Amino acid sequence: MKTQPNRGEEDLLLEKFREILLREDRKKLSELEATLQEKQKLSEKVSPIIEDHINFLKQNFPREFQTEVDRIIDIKLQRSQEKIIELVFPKLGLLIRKFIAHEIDLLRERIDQQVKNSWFGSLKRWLKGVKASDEILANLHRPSIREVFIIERDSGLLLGSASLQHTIDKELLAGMLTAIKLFMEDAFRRGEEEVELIHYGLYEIFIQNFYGFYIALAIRGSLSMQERDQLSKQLFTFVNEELNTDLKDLKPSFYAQVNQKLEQYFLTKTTTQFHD
Amino acid sequence: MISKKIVLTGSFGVGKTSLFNRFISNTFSDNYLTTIGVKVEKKALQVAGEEVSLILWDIAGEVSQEKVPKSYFLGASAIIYIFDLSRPTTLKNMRADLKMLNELLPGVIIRKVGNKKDLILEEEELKKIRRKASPDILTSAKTGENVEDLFFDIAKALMS
Repeated sequence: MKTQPNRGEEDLLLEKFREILLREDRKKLSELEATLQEKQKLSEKVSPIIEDHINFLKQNFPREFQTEVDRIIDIKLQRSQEKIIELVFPKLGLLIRKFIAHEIDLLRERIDQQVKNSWFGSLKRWLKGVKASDEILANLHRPSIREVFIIERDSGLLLGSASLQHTIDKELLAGMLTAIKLFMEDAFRRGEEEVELIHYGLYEIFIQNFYGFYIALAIRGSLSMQERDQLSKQLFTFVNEELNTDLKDLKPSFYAQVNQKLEQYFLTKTTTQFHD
Repeated sequence: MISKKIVLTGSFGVGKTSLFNRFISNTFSDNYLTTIGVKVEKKALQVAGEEVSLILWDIAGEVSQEKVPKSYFLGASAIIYIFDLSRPTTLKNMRADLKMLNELLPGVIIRKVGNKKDLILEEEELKKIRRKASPDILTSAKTGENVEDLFFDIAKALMS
């Protein structure tokens, strides 16, 4: 006679039955749980998906978000309009003022030159008793570049130099010149204006300021406005053509090359009319 | 050759220029210090077979660094902040000065130097100053004690 299983045996049987049926599912569940809990395992699964998304964004960012980014920039610009004007205006004003002053000086010099070359100028000189030989001698005494230095703006460290004469240590000179320049700019507190010319005796130091550095030229004689203008253009050409490098991360070969270039650009007879 | 700008600063009369002169041979007149408030000198050192050129800016002493033109500090790789071991008042503005310098030049190497060690005879007094100011090094520009070490240590730090 068959006996009916009691309640406890029934539960045990059911559990065994469940175990047989759900074995695979439980295994997968525990694997999934382990993956979720272990950072590395989770990262192995998720990272490729994130990377795919990043790559997708990298490739399609402009197409997908261009309009939105443009809209945000427009709003930002509109909101900051006054701030931008406030920041740019003094700079623009300074540039315009400098440009006008420079052009007036050039014009004055051209008029002086024309008057000098005209019959009126000759008459004036004749009346004043200026000898033609004195005038020729004065014209012969043209300004000439004796030394050129490229100097880092804040630190005053020397980035390059070329010289026609022996001077004291060039690194020291660069540091002291920077200190004097900084002192003058700080002492007179003329806003954004910078030292551009220093006179001493028969010499002039002409300074052209750039963003992270400045170039100082020691000149024997005195530059006219026209010559200053020409020299300025020459310096901009030099910087554009020869200093297209990250000045914060210079290779040792840079110094030798730049010194040679400075010599070619500014200290040889063929490259500058200021050199005698 | 690598060049680095180092600024020597601190309150007036702490011995910056003496320390500076002890380390280098003078070229420029000290008049620069009274006229424009700064004097620049150079010293070349050999560190691990490589030559490093230290461009030293000696800044005229002020009670507080707030009065010194900030532009003099710009571009510096290291700052030597000097105080006088025999005058505790020269420590008064140190914390504020160092805060200002750290903000102006984030990540710059700063060495706090207690100078005029030759004037301090009591070891107890030195211990007190060490606790109060925790200087990196104690020097004497008069006897030359630790002066070379200070600059070599900075040069090494700059090259590493």
